[in-house]
Amino acid sequence: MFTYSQTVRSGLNRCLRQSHEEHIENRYNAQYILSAEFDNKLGPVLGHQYPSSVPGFRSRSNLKNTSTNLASLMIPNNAEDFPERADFTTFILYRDKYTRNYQLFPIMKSVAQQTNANTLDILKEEESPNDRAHHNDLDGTTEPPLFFINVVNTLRDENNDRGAVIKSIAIGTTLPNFLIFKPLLTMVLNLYMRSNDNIQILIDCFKMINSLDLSLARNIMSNRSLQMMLTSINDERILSQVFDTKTTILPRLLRLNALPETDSYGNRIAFKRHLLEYQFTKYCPRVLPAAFSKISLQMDIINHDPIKVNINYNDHVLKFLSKFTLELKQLPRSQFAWKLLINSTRLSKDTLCQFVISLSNFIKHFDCHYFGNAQVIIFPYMDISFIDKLKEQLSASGNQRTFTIVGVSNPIFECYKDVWDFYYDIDTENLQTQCSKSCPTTMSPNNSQESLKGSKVRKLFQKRTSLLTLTPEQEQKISLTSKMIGYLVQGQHDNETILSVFKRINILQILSLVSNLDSCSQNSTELSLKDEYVVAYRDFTIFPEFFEYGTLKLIRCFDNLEQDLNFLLFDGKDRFEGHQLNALERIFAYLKYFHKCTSSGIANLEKFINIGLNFPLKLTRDGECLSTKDFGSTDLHHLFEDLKGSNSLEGLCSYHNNAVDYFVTKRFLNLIFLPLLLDSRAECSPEFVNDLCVRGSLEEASLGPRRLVHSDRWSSPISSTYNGSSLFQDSNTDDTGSRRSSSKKGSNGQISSSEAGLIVPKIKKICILLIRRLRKHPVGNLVLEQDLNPMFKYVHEILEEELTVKKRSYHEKRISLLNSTRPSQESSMTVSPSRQELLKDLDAISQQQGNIKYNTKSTRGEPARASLLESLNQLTVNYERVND
Amino acid sequence: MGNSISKVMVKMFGYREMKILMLGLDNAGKTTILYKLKLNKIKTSAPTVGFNVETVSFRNVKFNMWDVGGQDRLRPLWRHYFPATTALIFVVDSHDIKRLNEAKEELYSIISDKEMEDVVLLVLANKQDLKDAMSPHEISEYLDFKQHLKNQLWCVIGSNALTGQGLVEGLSWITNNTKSNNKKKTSDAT
Repeated sequence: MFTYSQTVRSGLNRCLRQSHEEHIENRYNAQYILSAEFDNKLGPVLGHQYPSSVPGFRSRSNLKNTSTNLASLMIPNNAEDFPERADFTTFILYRDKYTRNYQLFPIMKSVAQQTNANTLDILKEEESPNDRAHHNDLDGTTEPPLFFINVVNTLRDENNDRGAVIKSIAIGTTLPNFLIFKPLLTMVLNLYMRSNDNIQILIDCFKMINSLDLSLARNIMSNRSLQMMLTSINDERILSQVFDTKTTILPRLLRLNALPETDSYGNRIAFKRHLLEYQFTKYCPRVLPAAFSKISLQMDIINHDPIKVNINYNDHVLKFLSKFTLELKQLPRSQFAWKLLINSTRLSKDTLCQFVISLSNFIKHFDCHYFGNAQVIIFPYMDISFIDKLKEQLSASGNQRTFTIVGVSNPIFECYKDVWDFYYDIDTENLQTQCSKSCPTTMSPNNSQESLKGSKVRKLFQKRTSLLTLTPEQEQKISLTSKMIGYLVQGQHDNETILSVFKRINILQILSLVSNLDSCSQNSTELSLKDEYVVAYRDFTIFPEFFEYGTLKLIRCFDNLEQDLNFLLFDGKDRFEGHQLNALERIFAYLKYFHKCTSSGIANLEKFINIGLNFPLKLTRDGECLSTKDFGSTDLHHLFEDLKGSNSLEGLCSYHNNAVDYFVTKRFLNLIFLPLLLDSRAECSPEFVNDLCVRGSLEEASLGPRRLVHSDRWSSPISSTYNGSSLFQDSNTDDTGSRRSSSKKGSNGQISSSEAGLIVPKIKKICILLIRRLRKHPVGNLVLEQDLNPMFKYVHEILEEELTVKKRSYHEKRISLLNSTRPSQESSMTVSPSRQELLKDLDAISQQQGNIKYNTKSTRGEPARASLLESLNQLTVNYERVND
Repeated sequence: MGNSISKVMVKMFGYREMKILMLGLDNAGKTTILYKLKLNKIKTSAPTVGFNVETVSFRNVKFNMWDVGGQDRLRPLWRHYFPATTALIFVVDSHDIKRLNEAKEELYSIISDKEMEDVVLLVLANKQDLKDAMSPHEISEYLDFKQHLKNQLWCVIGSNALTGQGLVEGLSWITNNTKSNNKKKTSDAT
């Protein structure tokens, strides 16, 4: 069944070695099941713990200790207010590898451990840049956290002296999609409450959950490159085909020969659209009714978030972010960390917990370090009994270097101003802050440890902020994120679109940041790019995958490719004036790198598709800095209309009235296919070549390497990313590389007409090879089928056929190379009448383009480009109409 | 800021706000009192998990009334509700004589806290409707405030949360005795 993945095979072997009973005993899916109740005399108390007590919470003394009483998290405040209606809370336990005990707050790391971790991360990044899932087990002292999903309910009971019984049960699991257990737990709790605390019910539930072999689901969830790509599709037309079980797309995507119908123990598995459904068909419970076995576990194949949530961001989260991002921008420079308290007494605890987890997802807490090695505390629901522990934790981990996001359902927390910098009441949508501009820039640390670490990080922070962004007059500015959130709230967009927007903003801001750092006079920096980003933008949301070295390089290649295409084909400027390679050579180098990247494994191909799907619309002009730009008075509708009407690549994009829809339009296919329209005759004309030479003969830009000081697993050192010349390192072994060597000796960027004539066919060839790569991937192929401008489709088909013909007649290749862009005249292949017509049209466009280039330098290309643009636009409009 | 607005409102409209903390052993009737005052309804279907907080307007005073659960393991959490409290209402089940001493110990534990030394203390001797319930005077004697609370305003009022008896009187006493915290006096059982 499994053919591709070694991990899958090893997982399967592991399972095959075990009997079903052994598999159940090993507790792969759920580690603990707990029960709790509200005792009329005592208050919340833990009941059963199975299969054993949770280490760290096992002794009776701990049960009496209110500060560590898990029961108060399982019986939340005001649980009695909604009888017969189940509610849910989430809490997280962290296990210390050394003490083997669990605790409610993350394991603190020593400075020494952090140093070791950093060293290790650099090695890991180089050796294994992507692929499998990971947790925040970056320093070796912690294990993946144990998530507890808890269901609580109140039943009226006339026999009870207080009139009601309040009980709860919780499942502890390392599965990040623990919400899948909600339906089953609700049913089990109902039965448990009516059965006078029969522990066998809990045991049956626990064993039933563990009777499933979820290795397939785990492998799908943990395939990072696949997940990143799937989450970026955000197109129902494509997704419906991806998850159509009648085709072979899904098995290919999941690296399976066929979709399995059972797990390794015979439990039924079904693929229902984007859901993977497991049935409990093989476990025979002792006391649970048979109906319980029919409750399936449904997990989403697409993992949009590190921790699965099922709330709509537009209900509450975006409203909060719109206020919070503004306040974050106003934090004093010295304060890089913040403490956030979220309160709601009206919403269910389930919504509150998911709200907090959503925020943790935005900072990717359970995926990577948000900022340097600062501590992050995520506490989805906290009872007042934990406030002392929270204070202790803040004090121990360093009040000034700890990020906290805590959910509470008790307004008394507002009085405890030492545990929050921001207090947000979801019910009133009111955000309070204690971080005014008048905050002292230096605060006295609470202990020596904090003094040591806090001062170091603060120093770095101050150093960077003084360089980059937060000057007093900039503090009131509306960031791009804030601006877009306004549109997202207004349009009531779904979570997938919201994430798509944030991803694009993330990429735009990275590009702007890298560009700024490039032009920054400072010679060295001690922050990783991700930390620089967090400091510069303070817009809460990050996508760590974009900070990986390989991904970042791809992003920059896409960006540069767009610039160079705009320069060659439209009204764009040459952003690399003075570079040792001319625009055509650079385009070839980018495409060569794309091809090399996509050829080196399916994970890299998926990474490429992911970047492509998210490659954003350029919102700023050259030289504008996104971290300082004020979008307050910007009307994005007008801005987009202007861009759409401009003589640039944007003119090729489909028009949307909605700013958000336009912003999330996929653009990368245009970038990949547009080089196919380059005309070797036009581009190598003496006038054009001279023009390139004049533009390229300016003094060489200073792109000297910068000192690498800090890196972590997720972010490339800035020094290695804003060195623009590194983008062409991969071209050393190809023709362009050798040309570059020779051009170094002569004047920069100069190119002979014969060389220019050679490079265009090479560009087209590498383009076609790249497109072939894309087509080989099921998602890449679907994207090409669904999103490609029909004009490009025809052009590509023609060139593809021509390339095939050329392969057959290899000895004629060199002769026909210079004419490779004139397929209608030179190709001997048989083409259909309609295609012949199209070939004529293309040739006419090329000729027109070429003639104008020959004619005058001042008006070079514009009418031809206009004509080209018009043709593409016309096709785009017609295509859209047909699709509508 | 909020305090300044409150002061302005008091000056302009004679309107003020105060935080009332209502504590007592479990099953003393705190939640019933709260919702009788708030809604004039009886809400006794379940014990309080954690707390209830409601705003009750009386005369020109807006009472933010906090009712905190009284179970054994919730009592250590009472101190977290102390900040900014103007008045403490301690509810005693007048019929539960066996636990009266336990209530007394908890009450003294509260008022010995530094944060609570300036609050006015109202003891509601609840469940006066029940047979064999101790009278407010008896409870006052038992609690021995005269001996121990020489610098704190206090009052013991008999109440019946089901009918509302004594509740308005209690609020009235608090209203009258929080205008000027400097004026110290003690009040005997009503």
